[in-house]
Amino acid sequence: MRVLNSQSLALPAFTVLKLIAFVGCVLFAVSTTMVRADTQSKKITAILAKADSAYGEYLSGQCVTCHHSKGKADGIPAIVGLPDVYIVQTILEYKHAREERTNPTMVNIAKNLSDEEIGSLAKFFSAQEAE
Amino acid sequence: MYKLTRRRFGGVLGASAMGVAAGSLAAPAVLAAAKSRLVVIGGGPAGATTARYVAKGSKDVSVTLIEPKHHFTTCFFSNLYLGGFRTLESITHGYSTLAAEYGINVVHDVAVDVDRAGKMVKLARGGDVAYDRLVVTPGIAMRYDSIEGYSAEASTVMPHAWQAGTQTAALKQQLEAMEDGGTFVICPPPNPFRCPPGPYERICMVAHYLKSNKPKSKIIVLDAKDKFSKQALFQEAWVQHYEGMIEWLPKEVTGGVKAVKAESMEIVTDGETIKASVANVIPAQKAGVIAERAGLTAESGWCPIDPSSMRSKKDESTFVIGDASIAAAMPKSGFSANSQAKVAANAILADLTGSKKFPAKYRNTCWSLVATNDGVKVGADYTGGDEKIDVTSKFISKTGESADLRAQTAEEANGWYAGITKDIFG
Ligand SMILES: Cc1cc2nc3c(=O)[nH]c(=O)nc-3n(C[C@H](O)[C@H](O)[C@H](O)COP(=O)(O)OP(=O)(O)OC[C@H]3O[C@@H](n4cnc5c(N)ncnc54)[C@H](O)[C@@H]3O)c2cc1C
Repeated sequence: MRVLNSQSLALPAFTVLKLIAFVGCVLFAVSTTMVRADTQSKKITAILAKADSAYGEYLSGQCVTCHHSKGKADGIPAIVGLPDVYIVQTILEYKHAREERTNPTMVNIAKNLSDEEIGSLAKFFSAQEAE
Repeated sequence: MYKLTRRRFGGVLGASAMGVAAGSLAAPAVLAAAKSRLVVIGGGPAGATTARYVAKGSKDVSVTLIEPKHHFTTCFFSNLYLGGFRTLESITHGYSTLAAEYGINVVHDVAVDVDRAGKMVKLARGGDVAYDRLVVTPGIAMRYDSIEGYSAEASTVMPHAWQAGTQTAALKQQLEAMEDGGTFVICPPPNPFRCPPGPYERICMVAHYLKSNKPKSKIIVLDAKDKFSKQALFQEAWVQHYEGMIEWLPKEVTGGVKAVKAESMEIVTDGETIKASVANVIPAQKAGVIAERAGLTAESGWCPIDPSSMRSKKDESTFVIGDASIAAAMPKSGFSANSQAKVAANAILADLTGSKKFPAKYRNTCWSLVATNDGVKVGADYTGGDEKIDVTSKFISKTGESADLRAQTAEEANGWYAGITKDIFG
């Protein structure tokens, strides 16, 4: 049987420690992401819970001036029939001008929308069908 | 104001519903008796959108849309037609979907008078239409007398092309007939007027056409103002795409256009007389004549409205929407007209059916094409304030933007055109 000397032991012990630290970091990152994702999804659920269908229909009038009401996308993206969660998330991204969501028209619109309005619009458009 | 008496109205349409008209609309119990009646004068972006949203919103309201034209050519994108980017057919729309799919009674006639006390609209070809709520959306009328020598007749020689259709086609034909090396003179009007960036987009589109077809030609701009909408963006484009072709002369330089002579194609300013090959004379404007006839205008010639609903300040049964209205911070644009129409439709439905009235939220964005694949935009959100329509927040394209971003903005305008025309005409 091979006898390990103290020196040869030291290295794996260090590696194990590094591994533990690494796994710990990964777990921490994953869990905070999960927590963040969880907070985000809770926020979206809360926003959708505030939806008022009559208000959503009324507000949608100001969107279909540009976003074709039957889903034609000629230079402005179609929004009818998209999942409500996705619509809320996207409007929130515009509201905070995140990443690719920098189009000044949408940033300007999103910053004036309350949670109730965002939820109402998302519910309305997700229930519409493209032609 | 000249007012028709009830007696002068013969052959009342929808006479069976007269009982309702006599009753007060403030009492919803009366409304249940018969369909209430909305009459809309003018089938442009403001009128057609209102008619469509009210018809869509309730089966209990009968909607009549009065519009003389069978086909509506949009002013928006008519500059692109001048530049060769669009055909006239592609910006012309019919009313058949509004009639067939929304049950709107489209009457191709001119409203010549309104009896507000009797709630009746008089038509040019005879017959009267009774209403419970009236929408007046006639767009603009030209103040021909704002320029000496200019008139409806002179406008066939020196077109304004500020109401789309034959005027736009006439201007295009003149441009096509113009010799290379000719002078195109455009006279943008004083404020307030339909489409603040419109004259300057037109300059770009005419320059684009001339640069490609008649590169020795010149454009002279005799402005009635010293500054204009999206000025830095347009002036950037004039240098970048049409260097040396365009000369913009503000009012402080020329004193403005004093007179025109259609026979000799001359335009007279304070110090100079300029001879034009093609003259695009755009006079000062006011609300369409029926608005004044109905007693809905203020001294300015435009119609005051309640900012929370677009209801006329002169008559609570009447709404004025679009270019004819005084919408304060909102520019006179097709986008604004379409946006206001939806706020008004909500208020009209609340009046007539007791449905919920929501807070007024308006929006506008004006795209302008300055060259091939080069678009710019300006826009804002608005609310109905206590006194007037107020800006909530706004944005504008920047000078020096990347070609990619400009191309994307130009693309967006195409998407907007498809969206808004669907929303107006169904
Ligand atoms: C060159 C140019 C470019 C433009 N570009 C843009 C743009 O890019 N984006 C934008 O948003 N806007 C643009 N506009 C502005 C836009 O066209 C107007 O703001 C819009 O048309 C206003 O709509 P409206 O319904 O108030 O009036 P109008 O469009 O004028 O419609 C009024 C209708 O009422 C009818 N009418 C009038 N009197 C009577 C009567 N007595 N009885 C019955 N019917 C009647 C008329 O026949 C007409 O059809 C542009 C305008 C011009 C001139």
